[in-house]
Amino acid sequence: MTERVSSPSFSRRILSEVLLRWGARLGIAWIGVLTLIAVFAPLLANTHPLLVQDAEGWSSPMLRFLGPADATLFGAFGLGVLLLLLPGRPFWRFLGWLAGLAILAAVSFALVSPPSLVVYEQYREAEAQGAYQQVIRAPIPYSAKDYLRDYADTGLEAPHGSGDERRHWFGTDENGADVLSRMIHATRIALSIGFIATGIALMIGVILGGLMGYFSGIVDMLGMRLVEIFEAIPTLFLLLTFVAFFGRSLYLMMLIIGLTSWSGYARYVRAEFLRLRQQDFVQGAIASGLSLPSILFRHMLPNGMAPILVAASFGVASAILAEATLSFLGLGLVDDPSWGQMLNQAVQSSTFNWWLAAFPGGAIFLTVFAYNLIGEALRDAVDPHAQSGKPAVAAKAAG
Amino acid sequence: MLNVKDLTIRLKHQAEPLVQGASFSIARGEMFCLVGESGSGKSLTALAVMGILDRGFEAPTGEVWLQSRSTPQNLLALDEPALERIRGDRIGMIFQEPMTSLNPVFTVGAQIMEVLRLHRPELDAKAVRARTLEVLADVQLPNPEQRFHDFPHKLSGGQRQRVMIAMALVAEPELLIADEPTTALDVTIQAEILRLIDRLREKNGMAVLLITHDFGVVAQVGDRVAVMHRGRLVEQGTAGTVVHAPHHAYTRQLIRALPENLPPLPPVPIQAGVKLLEVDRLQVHFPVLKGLLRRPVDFIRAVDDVSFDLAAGEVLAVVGESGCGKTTLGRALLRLIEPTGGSVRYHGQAMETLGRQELRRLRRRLQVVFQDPASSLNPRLTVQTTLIEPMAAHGIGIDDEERTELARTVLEQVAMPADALWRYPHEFSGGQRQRIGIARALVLDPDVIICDEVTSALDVSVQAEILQILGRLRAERQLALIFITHNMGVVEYLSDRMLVMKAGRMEELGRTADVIARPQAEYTRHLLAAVPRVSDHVGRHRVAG
Amino acid sequence: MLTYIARRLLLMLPTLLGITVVVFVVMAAAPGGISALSLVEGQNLEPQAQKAMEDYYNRLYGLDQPAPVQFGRWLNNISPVGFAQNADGGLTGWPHFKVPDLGISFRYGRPVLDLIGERLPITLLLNVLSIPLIYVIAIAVGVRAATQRGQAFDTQAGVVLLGLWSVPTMLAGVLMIGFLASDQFWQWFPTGGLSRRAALDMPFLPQAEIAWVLPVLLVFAFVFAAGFMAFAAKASAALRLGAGVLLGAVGGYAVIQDLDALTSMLALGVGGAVGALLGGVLGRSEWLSLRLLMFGGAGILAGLAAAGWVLPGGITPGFLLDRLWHLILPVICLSYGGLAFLAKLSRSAVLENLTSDYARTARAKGVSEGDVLWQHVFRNSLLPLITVSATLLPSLLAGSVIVEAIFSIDGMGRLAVEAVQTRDRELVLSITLISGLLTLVGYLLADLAYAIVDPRVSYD
Repeated sequence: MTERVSSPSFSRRILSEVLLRWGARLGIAWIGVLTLIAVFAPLLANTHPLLVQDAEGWSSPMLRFLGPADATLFGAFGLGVLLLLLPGRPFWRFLGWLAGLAILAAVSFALVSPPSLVVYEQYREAEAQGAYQQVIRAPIPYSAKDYLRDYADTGLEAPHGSGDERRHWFGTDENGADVLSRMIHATRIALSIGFIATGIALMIGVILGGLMGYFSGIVDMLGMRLVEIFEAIPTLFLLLTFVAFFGRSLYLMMLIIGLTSWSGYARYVRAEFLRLRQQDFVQGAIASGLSLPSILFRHMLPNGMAPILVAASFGVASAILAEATLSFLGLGLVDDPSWGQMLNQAVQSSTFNWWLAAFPGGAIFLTVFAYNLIGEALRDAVDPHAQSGKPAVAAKAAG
Repeated sequence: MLNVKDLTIRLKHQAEPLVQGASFSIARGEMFCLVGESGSGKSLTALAVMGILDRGFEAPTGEVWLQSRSTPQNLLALDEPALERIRGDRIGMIFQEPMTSLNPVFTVGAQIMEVLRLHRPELDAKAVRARTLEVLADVQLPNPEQRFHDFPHKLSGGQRQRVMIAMALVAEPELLIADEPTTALDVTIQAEILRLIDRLREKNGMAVLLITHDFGVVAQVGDRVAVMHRGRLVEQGTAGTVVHAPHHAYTRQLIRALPENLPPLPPVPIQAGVKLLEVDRLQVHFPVLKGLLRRPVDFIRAVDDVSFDLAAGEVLAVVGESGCGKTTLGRALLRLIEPTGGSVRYHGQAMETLGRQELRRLRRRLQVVFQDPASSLNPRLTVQTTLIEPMAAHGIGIDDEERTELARTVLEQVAMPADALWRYPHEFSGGQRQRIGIARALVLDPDVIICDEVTSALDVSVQAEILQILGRLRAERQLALIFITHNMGVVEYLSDRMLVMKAGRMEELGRTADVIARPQAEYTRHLLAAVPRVSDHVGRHRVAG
Repeated sequence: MLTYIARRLLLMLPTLLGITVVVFVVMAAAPGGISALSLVEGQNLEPQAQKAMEDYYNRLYGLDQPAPVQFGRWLNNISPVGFAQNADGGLTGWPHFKVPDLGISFRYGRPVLDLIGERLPITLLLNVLSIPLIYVIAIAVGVRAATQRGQAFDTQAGVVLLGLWSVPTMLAGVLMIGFLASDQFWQWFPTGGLSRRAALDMPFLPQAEIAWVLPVLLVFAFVFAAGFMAFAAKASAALRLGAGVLLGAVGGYAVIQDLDALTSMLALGVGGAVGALLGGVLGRSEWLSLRLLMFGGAGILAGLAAAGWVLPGGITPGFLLDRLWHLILPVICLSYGGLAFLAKLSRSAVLENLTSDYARTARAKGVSEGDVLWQHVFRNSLLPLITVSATLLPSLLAGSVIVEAIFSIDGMGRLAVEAVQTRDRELVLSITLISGLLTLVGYLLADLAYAIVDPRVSYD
């Protein structure tokens, strides 16, 4: 019987090639940090104390006010860690995670229902009155929507640290809410918009592009006209139109950003499919009588994914930018915190509120930079000319 | 003229040199051939002499003495401005790929005149132009006045190579370095270019360093030869000695691997009565669309009325130069490209009318192996997956275990080890990948395999192995092969019958031995005469020295 | 070639139609759709008056008709061949040639054509100034990165460019305004708009109170700049380092002194030190173009300063200079993003061509490396840059939206935002049409330019 000798597969090789580059490592590290922040936001920045011991014993206001989204994220994180440790092909593990996520979301939204009335001031009042024997707070004891109404005279404040009765590391925004807390909670929106919008755009682009590339003819002609139309409309303008007319909701924005950015992916997939169709191994697969799904999904698609992955990484960056831009122009989400919206407040009043520009703006910059670094590293890893190994150079030059 | 001593070339940050201790000399007016397989370092040697090695290389060590008008100079010791004066003026160089070696945005005339402006500043504009036209006529480029103003993309490969030669010779250098100048050209053009270089050598009294992998070329035009193997010069001598009485084991191995020297194949009884494939007036025409509404104004007749039969166990060679339609013919037979006319019958059944399902079932019997080992295997799949997938699609074997066993046996038949199953294509060399490609065709147990230039991208020794494997397989399995190639030596060795194509049409069809001995068509005669052979009379019409 | 152009122009029509259909569908499908409600709801009117206004608007603009009819009427208005519209809103007569009518904006009450005519030139001005700037810098950086492949400049430039690309336009604009145009920090630039009010009364060109002052000023600036640049080109590295440190220290000191907030000796010292460091690095740099640019700029500043000290009388900047001064920050804001992408592209194009076969042939002919780069490789490397210029225009138009919003410039971008916010049907559709048209024409021009530059390409 033949022995199995393990050889690194194509994906594994690309992955190790990518990880060689410090840019990718920094980028992935930053995205990892952001993911942790997004998942554990309720634990990091919350007016509801984590644990409270009062006359009636221990209780956890944080848990009581945990929303379905929070619960889903906790579960998803745990599931993700679990699946990373299990063996199996990465593709199937990813699908399993998606399925688990769907189930978790359904269960959470059905079962978890925090009280709808939230009074942030009660904890501070209670503590001032001495009603608590012990209280354990989150590191940043303010929620994103806690407008600090129990304090007089709140509004835009520059950052100030210890020494005052209230500690706002990054200052407060125009409504009095703590900027750092809002930034932490806004991480969820930033990350999820990036992924989901790009995911939608990828799906549409890959399907349409694949059809155009494989079938050519009328399908190709019609598809290309559609691509041209979406390319010729200034994306931002279409986004503005959508958002202005359809109102603002997070899910809608994700959908809209996805719908307006698919044309690039379609072009890439089409070009790759056209190239691959002429490749010998695809012709060989056809000549061997393999079925169409097998040819498309086993032979063509995996070999054409590389430029699309690169584009997707840059696409996530631009999706995050798009959302920030919309928020900046005043067309984003109204109440939920978002980095772009905070940036908008930096120039709203007559003075320049630098902390609202530096910190949320810096967060946007770092995140976009991280994705761009990853995209660059991917591009270099996939491009045969830029390989760090020498064989390509020598082979080209030698006899 | 040129005296190379102990030339060593390495890549930066690498211990292992790519060329080590190469020493040879070329006399004035001599045609010196540097022979070797790919990776032997022969091109690197030439680039090092010119001083145009890529930036990834360390400066070569050793000495390269150029003796021309005045005192001898060590080229490796000169600084860059001095080298720039010598390049193009005292040494000219031409390269392998005429299609990409000319700057596409400048006219032919401008590129040649640039050499004169650099190295003959004393000439005025009129003289420069006159000399350019003169050299274009020297290289026998038809219509030199018009070609002067043309851009390179309007010229064919052979014409571009002539322009390259003109550019290299316009300043009348004493040494011409030709790096595989004819490898990318058609056989008939190849012969003309070689003759041209030889003639110019004689006329100008130039020394020529000709780099090639083809011993036939050496036999035809070479005075002296050096053989390179893995960066070392293993043998040197006059052309006659090296080709007919080689000393070194490697040289002997190379000579033995030439198709004309290979041991004859095991005989195969051909059942002439059983016609596997009947091709009748096959046509593949592509429309040329022009005008506002993209209407077809003309057709490219890639395959035009080709007819032939194929019996079981028979090898039919399809020969022709590039663009003759042989590759299109191969694909049309398999319906990878849809024929626009004529019919192909397999065991009497017409293929063009088959539905998709039936066609898929039939594909098992007609397989194909491709030319380019780099793209013939899916880089994402292991060899095992590549081999068992077609079996699974056609229901061969009960489960994957059994199929893997079958795959292992087939790999054995193509002389590949069993552990190749678990590796990825990029871990193998070109020859090994071709063998895997053949294995992939074999796992379905076909009756016919179409081999589309399967050895054209391989070195001579690797080619020999593949040819012998194919011969053996054919004998064992009664395989019929349609062997598409432009290499006449292979045709002679392997095929029973041959079909000569030109511009989509059949020029000649008959038994190989007959066609070669007594070619009927004019074109076939022309083609056969152009092939350089080792067995040619090796002799020079001038005094060597 | 002509048939190609004709075909492309014809193909534009379905695409333009498609674009307007998409936008119209978005408007019509939205909750609330296109109706007169948005026009009247701002005003506090009694229900009867409100209804009357609604009816008026409905009749005027046909807003109560079903969506496809509205679209049809709009198409009829904009096409050169169509029906006439009578006072009642109905269509009469036979199709005949007429002037395309883009309609009347709901919000402004003025013809759309006028509005666009006012605003479009401004946006075009911004973009037209940005494009050459982007190209020149990107090509310079890209070529140098390619020739210095793998070395310090290449990797550093790569990271810096990627970082620049990642800075969101709004952040850059906000920071620029906040730090460079406010009274809290430096106030070197205006906060917004395109001209000062006073500038509208000024003469176009700068004028001096005493006539001969102006040419002398220019001579000063020119002489100093030329001198500095000659120094930068010829002087040894050590001398340049010293000069750079000196100039940088002076500049750093002056910059900090300009800042009202920081007046301590420490701050001035730090400013001077940082300036000296920067100046030293630039002075020592191997890159000739960069040195010339920096020293030339310093020369001009020094010349102007010296002239200002010596020469009597004042100077009114004039409309032109004032306009340019207002444009500097917006143009920078618009350009820096495109820089990174183009620079990477030109780097890879140059790299590919430097290692190509024809470059090898050129070297074998004895062409020097510098000539191989600028005479042979450069022209071939321009080709992908030309094709990409087509896609540059739409992204610049999008960038204009943000820049115009931040810098309070009344251009097309701002008009677009207002149009969608107020659901102004005519304006939205017209802007879509115009920008779509501009984009497609941009594509066509890029393709034609490519055909001109590359002799291999011919369209038949």
